[in-house]
Amino acid sequence: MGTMKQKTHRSYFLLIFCLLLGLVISLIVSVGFGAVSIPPGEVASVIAAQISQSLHLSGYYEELLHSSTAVIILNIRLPRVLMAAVIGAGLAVSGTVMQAVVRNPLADPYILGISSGASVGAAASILLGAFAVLGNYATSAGAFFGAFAASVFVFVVAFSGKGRSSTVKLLLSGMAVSAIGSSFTSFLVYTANDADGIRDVSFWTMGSLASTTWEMLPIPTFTVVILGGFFLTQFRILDVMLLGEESATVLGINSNHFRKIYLVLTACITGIMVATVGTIGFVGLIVPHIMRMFTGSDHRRLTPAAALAGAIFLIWCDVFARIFLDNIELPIGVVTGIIGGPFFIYLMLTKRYGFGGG
Amino acid sequence: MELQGKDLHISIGVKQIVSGVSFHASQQQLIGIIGPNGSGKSTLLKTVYRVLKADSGTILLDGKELSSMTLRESAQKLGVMSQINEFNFDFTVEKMVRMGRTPYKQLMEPDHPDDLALVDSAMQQTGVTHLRDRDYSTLSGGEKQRVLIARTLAQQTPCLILDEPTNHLDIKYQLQLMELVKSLKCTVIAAIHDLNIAAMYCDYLYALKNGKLVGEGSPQSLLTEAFIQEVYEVSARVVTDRGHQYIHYIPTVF
Repeated sequence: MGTMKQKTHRSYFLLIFCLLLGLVISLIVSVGFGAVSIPPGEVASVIAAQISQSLHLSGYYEELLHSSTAVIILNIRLPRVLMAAVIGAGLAVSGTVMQAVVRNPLADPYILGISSGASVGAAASILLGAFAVLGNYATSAGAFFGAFAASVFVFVVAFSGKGRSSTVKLLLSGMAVSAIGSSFTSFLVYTANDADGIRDVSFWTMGSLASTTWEMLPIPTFTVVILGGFFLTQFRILDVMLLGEESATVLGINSNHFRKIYLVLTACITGIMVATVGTIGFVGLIVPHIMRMFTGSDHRRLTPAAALAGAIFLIWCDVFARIFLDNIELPIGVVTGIIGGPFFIYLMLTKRYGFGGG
Repeated sequence: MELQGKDLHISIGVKQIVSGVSFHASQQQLIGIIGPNGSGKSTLLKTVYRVLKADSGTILLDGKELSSMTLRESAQKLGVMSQINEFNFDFTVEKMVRMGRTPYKQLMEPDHPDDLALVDSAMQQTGVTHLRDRDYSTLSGGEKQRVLIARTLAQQTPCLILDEPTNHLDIKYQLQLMELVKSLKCTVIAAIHDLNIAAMYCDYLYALKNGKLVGEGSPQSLLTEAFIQEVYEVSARVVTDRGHQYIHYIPTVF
């Protein structure tokens, strides 16, 4: 018995170690992919040079930092890869939390109408000039407010009206709001007479990391680190929530109270992520499931593993998005679906995992 | 620990389910709530373990009003064994039993060796130790039930509520469970279907019908042939043999 416990302990630390190593390697190697390919060794030395320069260690790397590859690495590729890691981790943690909160394996960060709300907000700003007072931030603000308004609306619908609020009601009202939102976005696109605007809208609905700059990184990074970190501490409550409201009450947890807090916080993370890179589907749905195959539903183990795996997964989806076609970038939402879907089906068919089917 | 309900009125939606029920379980007493289906037993107990709220009336734990306690406080005093619940995700048996320690845990606090010892002994008491690494969802109904009972034991509460936990258990485990509960020296309130089990283990019985209290007393004094006929609408013969009371049901033609 004791040895079994030690064994699962050791295999978990091995998993986390592999994921961390995988993340570091992915960060470096993925920077090399793109229109110009750069060997990982060069990437590593440029990054090392930049770090030692920032720390004022010595001036002897100066030359390396002025090369054209260094400019590509530091100004274009690196922020983009870091953004992929941050967003991937944020989506995976939000998905893990949402699945526990609504006790449903089909939940993802967008289940509460967040993505379609964001698309409506972005489309209204791009095509109708809403939020124009905010200048350059108009579209991001539109997406964020759209996301937030949609989730508040879903929330109000699920928790008011006749009968007890249930997780099923939450899920269904999320789906209803999603349908309304995406129809509304389609309406705006269909009636718009603005080809560039329509392309911009499709950016929001399918997501892209292409225009990431260093300036864009701090807000999502800060949000994901703070709120993701918060969710890492909530493992006991998340575990008990999976058992259902009645069992939670008996074990001293007011699940209704925590459900509200968690929903508001996931709406915040997701809203900010959507405002930055558009909606990227599938990551928040599948990464938690894949990690559950290794860690089980125990959130103390699952949440950190999901965050790391989400980061790695999105980094490589973004690589695929930029190299699959010459001269054309694919929207990353297309890639997460193309890669994630078949992989998920493969795991479903080969692994003994119930997907919450019981 | 003493558990007391005073003049409880409980409704679900607009329907009044329990009207004006009071009960009292003193230190280490095992109190049975009996009554036919739909009599309000489970509703009454669900109110005691705070899943439902009473419209009026109070529940007192050692004289302190239950509604003034946090859920965490009451979960340290009241353990509940109820019917198995289904859920969509899976935990190992050991993890399920460990969750019984939740009411004692701070947010980030890990399980200590004492917790694990309690978990081990709880699993031993219900005979699920050999299942510890199995997934809960792969167990049979009876095994699941015993895992949940182990979880409640790991919760280490001075007061227990049994909301028909014997439903999925065959007779051996039903009797074992009642023996176990009796041996714990807790204050217990149990909803019981089987009048023979009620007669065997309960110190005192409350009978509900249509949400009203229709009788109370020791099993010997309450469970008479006339009373069973009146409350359950079945003919029965009550026999006392070597100090034990047995209820035999007599089939009638409908």
